[in-house]
Amino acid sequence: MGDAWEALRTHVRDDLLTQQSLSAVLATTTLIAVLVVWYVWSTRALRALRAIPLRVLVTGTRGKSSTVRLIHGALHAGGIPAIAKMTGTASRELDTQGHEYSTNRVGQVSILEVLETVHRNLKRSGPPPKAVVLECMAVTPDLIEFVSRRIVRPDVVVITNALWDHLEEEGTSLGEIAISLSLALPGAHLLVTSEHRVGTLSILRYEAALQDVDVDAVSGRTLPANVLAAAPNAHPDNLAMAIAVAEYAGVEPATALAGIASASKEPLPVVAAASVIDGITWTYRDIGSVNDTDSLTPALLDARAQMPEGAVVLGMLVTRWDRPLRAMQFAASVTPEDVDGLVIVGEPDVLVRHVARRSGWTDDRIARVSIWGFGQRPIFRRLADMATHIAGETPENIGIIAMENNHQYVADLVREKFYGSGVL
Amino acid sequence: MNNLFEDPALFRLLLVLSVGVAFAVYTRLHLVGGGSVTGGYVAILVVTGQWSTLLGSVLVTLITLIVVRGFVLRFFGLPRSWQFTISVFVGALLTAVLAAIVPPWISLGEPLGLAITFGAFVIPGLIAYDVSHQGFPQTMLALGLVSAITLAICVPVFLLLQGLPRGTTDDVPFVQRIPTDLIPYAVIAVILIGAVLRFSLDLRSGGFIGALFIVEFFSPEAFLAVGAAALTTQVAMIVIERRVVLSWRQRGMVALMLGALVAWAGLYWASAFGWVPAMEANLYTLSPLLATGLMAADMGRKGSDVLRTFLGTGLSALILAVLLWITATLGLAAGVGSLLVVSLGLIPGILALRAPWRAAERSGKMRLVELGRLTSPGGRTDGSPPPS
Repeated sequence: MGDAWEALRTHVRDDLLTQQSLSAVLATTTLIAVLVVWYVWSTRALRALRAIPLRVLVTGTRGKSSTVRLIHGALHAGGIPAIAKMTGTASRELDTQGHEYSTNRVGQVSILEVLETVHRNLKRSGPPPKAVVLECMAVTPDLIEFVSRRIVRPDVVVITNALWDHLEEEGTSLGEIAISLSLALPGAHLLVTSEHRVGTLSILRYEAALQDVDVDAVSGRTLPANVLAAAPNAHPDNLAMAIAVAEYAGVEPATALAGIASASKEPLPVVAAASVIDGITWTYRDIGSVNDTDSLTPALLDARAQMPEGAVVLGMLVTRWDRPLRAMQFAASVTPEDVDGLVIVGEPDVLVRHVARRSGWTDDRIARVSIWGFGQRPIFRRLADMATHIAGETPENIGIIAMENNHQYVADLVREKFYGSGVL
Repeated sequence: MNNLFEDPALFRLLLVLSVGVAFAVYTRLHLVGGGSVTGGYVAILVVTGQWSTLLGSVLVTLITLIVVRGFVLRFFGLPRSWQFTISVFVGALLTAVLAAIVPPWISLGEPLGLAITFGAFVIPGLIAYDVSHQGFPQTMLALGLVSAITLAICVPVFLLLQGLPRGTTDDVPFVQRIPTDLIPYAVIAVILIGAVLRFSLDLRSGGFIGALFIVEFFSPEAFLAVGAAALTTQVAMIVIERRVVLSWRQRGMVALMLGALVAWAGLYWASAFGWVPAMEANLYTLSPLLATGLMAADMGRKGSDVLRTFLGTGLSALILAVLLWITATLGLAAGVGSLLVVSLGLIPGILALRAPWRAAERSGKMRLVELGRLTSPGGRTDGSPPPS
């Protein structure tokens, strides 16, 4: 024992000022520095966030960004300075004066953006926020819970609805999806939802009861005509949820409605745009923000109504390799009764084509468009060839309805042709 | 130059520092450059002048990217975890092919070279996955930033430390357990074994190659020591996470750094007490640090825990050791045959993929049922209107 102890002492004494010991010290310092800097930065943001008296976290499948805007508008009109963050189609922030800022993203979408939003707001002029409305960036159940429990700690949770989307993360049944979304509830006082399905609403109510959270289930269908007329472009359900949150915050419904009417709009246009290319008039409508097939029918009908009479209408499935189940959903859901031809951009295109065939499509009405590979022809010439094949002659009008997702390199090129590059 | 970089401690510092820089780059820009250790890997290749390895890694990364983007992602609707594993597997397979065609392209001396050689098989797949996920320029920017900042800090530090003595060294001979010619087989096997354990048994195996390090300095004591270090790290992480809010990725990076430091300290003190297994493991420059860090990172991942990681890493190491013994004893053909038998274990995982596919198609067809175009979501449609 004595020898071992002596050997140890010698070992340590010999290593006191060596490359090895100093390297170890520097490595340990690196870890401590990383943790301390991050702790100081994140704690400052968290304190600022939690100092805001009313925190609203908006999650759900569809309508999150619009609802955040409407709630922000309602609170603003009610004299409650609020900041807001949207992350859906385009990542944007609203300050307490209603100014809108684009979130400058270099890399991936990250939940850290919530803290960054609060940090940025500390530097902005205007009254300090009395409310914050955040779109939940997380889709995996664990992360939803993390954002809610560890970061936001919301007073009000808005679950817009529980529809068929994010099957990879949230589950493959509506019940599982509802349970995943309800992981945002712990610690909240009120759940506002416009979920219509009795089964999923029951699950949300049950989960809320477990967490001792009050439920305000609203519906746009019950809103009077004059309320709907105040914000004609807003979805009635989103309108109802915004009014409910404003009411919780103590804002009069009439005041809230006035704020909602003047709330900022989502950047993606809801009207079709046209352009003439090679003598053909092309009409483009982007419904890529509709990521679930539950909401597809009204969006598709609206888009078709904006297409010119007699146009060959091509449905552009903007598929994402990291959302293969969504790709399969849309391929199974869009049939030749909806559009005249199917254009697939992105991956997994081979799988999507296979599912589309099972939905009644034939190969001559499906085209895969890519800008990769040798000998690729210009996108619009390829699409015109397919439209010509469908119509039997070169059509005067071709319509494109982009759906499923917004962003993909080919889809972005097509959109830019009609809306310009700065729209999203 | 080589004399300067003889001391393994300097490379351990470089590893921890590079993960710290990767943490900063991710936190500030939300960018990753092929996992947490790739920046450090590139920095080591640069600092040691291993340009052929670097060039080979770039080449394999590009081919992996083409294979993954041009084939795998087009045909298969796979969850991210599958795509990630396939990407790494394809990268390792192509690296093995390159190593067979151009044998000397990985030419580092031991023991530092071993971790770098293992890394050379895995890194291309990690980078290719991140390129698919976040884009080529973004991934290259992250990788470039992490490598450059790491080098900018490390090179002056190395030069400053040059005049100091290296410190006591452990007086035991270095023995490489996995023969050099079996390394490609071992890496491919450990990735496949990890996939089987993960997708069919829901176990974690210390990253893709954690078990490989365990087998390399194989002894039950070594495994238990690494496990104990990883467990210590996990306990420390729980304490840290109570005070500091960390995203999943940030958590993984901190666990990797902390695990590496715990392993480093543990090896030092255990060696100082004269424990021979620790002295043997301490001869490896980066392997014990990475093995501990990877296990610790896996323990905290979603859907994972200490037990699953212990069990998965232990099983993975055991199966790999058996496969290597078969290959060394009966030849490569027997080894490949055994590996194919092991890979049959993936079948339950593959079959489990069908349920979400079916659910996705059915949920898509629910719209057609609601519109009256189909009578049930299980049926097909030929595009014609439903009978009135």
